[in-house]
Order: sequence, then C-alpha cells, then structure tokens
Amino acid sequence: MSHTLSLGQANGLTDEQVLDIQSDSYMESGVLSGRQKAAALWAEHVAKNTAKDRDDVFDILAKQFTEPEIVEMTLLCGWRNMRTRFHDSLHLDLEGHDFESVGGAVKVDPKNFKRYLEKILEDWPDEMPEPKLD
Amino acid sequence: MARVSLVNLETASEAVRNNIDASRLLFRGSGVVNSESLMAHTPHISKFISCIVAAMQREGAGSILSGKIKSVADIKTSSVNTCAY
Repeated sequence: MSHTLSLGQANGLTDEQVLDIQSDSYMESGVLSGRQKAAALWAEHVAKNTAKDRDDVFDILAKQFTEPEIVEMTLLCGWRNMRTRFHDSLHLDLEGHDFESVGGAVKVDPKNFKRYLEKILEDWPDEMPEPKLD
Repeated sequence: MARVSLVNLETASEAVRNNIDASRLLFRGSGVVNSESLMAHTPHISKFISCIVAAMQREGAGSILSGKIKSVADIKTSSVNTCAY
C-alpha cells in the first residue's frame, strides 16, 4: 500500500471512500462529502494543469472552501505533484512497511515541532557546502 | 530499483543522523522510509523538506485543513499521476 493510501486510512478515510476518490466517477459518489468531492476535483485539475483554465471547477471549490483553505489546498496539490514527480523520476521503491507499522502520527505535536526547529538550529553547521562552479 | 543509491543511515554522516533523530519529533515513527534515505543525499535541504511535510501532510504544524481532506487531495493527485509510492 502506498504511503498516501496508508496515511489516508490513518486519517479516517474508508476503503470505499478511497476507491471512489481514485475512480473517474468520484463526483457521483454516495460516500464522499461535498468538500471531499471538491478537493478531489481541484486536485485532479491541478495535477493535469487544467485548473488555470477551469473557472467552473474553481467555482465548485470556492463554494466549499474559504480563501485561506483554497490557498492551502492548492499549495498541497502542488506539493504532492512535486513529490510524485520526485519519487517517480528516481524510481523510488515502496519499502513495504505502511504508516501504522512504523508508528507514524497523523498529527504533529506543536511543542515537538518547536523542539524540532530548536534541534535543527542547535546542529546548524558553521559553513554550508559550496556548489561546484558551472 | 531506485536510480540513485539510498543512503545507509547507520553509516551516514553526523548531519544525516541528526536530521533523522530530529525528524522523529515530527513524525514519531520508528522506521526510516526510502524517501528519507533518498533525501539524506541532501541533508541541509532535507531539514526544510521535513518542515514542509509536517505542515502540508499532517495536522498541528500550522495547517488549517483537516488531515482527512488533505488525504483526499493527496490520493487523487497520486492516482492521476499513477504514483505508487
């Protein structure tokens, strides 16, 4: 199972919902909410780079999400596309253990996020690597 | 098989091992996934990627969208891109 599916299950999506999201008929799904359908629709058009020309699709999104949510959703879609291209281009293999088996968390503890940043700063190098001259 | 080597984290540089240790604070998992071993080739950039992963793909790091709705967009994007990872 891919990390995306594994994380989706950990976030509470059912198998039926996952199958509908992956299908071509997700907008007619009986198990996806209006927000979930709009999110899937926007994600599909961002991935195909057709979102820029589809005001009708944006209108569906805008009926379900606030402007800050739309910005975050679009950033998320762009981020996920970057990740899929990065992994696919370098033929990264799925390692076999899923989200639950590695004990992953669906929620980051804000205190731990601060501790992460503090630790990164503690380990911050005095010098960064110099790039090759091209 | 990956087109570039995956960094062996047991024999990796101190910078890489520090990153992995720190990232446990964010993701809590005990295992190391292949994307972490791949990103270990660029440990200084990896520090920032971990922050973005936390903010984009989890709750609690500033995101206002629920993990569930984010997973819907993630799954659809991966499906359109036919990405198995």
